[in-house]
Amino acid sequence: MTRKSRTTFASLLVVAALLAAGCTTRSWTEETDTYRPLGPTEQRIENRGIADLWLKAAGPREEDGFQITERLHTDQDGHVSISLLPAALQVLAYGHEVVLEFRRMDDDALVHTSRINAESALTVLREWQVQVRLGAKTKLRPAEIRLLDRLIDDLGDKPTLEMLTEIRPAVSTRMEWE
Amino acid sequence: MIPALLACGVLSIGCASSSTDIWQRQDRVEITPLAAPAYTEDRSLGHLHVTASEQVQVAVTPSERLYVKHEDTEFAFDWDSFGLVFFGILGSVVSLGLTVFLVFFAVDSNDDEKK
Repeated sequence: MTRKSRTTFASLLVVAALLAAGCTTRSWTEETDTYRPLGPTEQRIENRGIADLWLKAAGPREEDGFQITERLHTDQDGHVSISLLPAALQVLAYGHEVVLEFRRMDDDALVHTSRINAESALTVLREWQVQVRLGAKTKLRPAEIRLLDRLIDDLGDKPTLEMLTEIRPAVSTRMEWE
Repeated sequence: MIPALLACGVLSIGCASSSTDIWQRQDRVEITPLAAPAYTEDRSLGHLHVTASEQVQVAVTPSERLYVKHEDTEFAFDWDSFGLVFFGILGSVVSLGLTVFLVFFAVDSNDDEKK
């Protein structure tokens, strides 16, 4: 290799290195817990809904294994909602009041109970009857639908039977994952 | 190789890291529960509505929060890019030389043969 070709080769290397080498810049913002007060602190007392809370609602287990269980999740205002139709059906089918127990799912602590007796079960059926007349639809689990059908077949009380018969066409099957 | 390494060294001199303090308006809010959570129910339209709530003390302080913006500049040498550039230049030189050779020597010799 002559001196000239060596110089050419070195120049090539320099140019390539200059073009290929460089600096990479990355930037990120760190959030600190340091605050600088701008004015006096204002204090107030509020009643706030507990959001993002998981609750489990469960009714009593019957001898044939029927039981109402629901997993509920509170919204931003701390609200959860559950249909009382299955509980009303259970009251009518098994002839005793149903106590729905609400437990926190993280520690299984009992936080609330709600009783549905025969009178409130009929109120629930009347409310559902009105809703169905207005075009509402509802979903029940297969066991709850079987309970409804059994009540329609066996129940002797005519006004209650009318309500159940009217509600039945608006009921569709609720999937396991729903 | 030494000049190339020197060039890389020169380019890396400017590489450094820095951080900037940024104060952004963000009120400081402290929430202290005053009592155990309460659960209330309401029944309507065939549904049971349960509300979970708690009494809290809310302390709001108008303030600015500190954010730190970091910038980190590092020397980088990409061997793939280096190879691509190096052989690109080498290929260009070779093809240019070949063209010059063909035009000034190969074509000229054909002309001489014709004469």
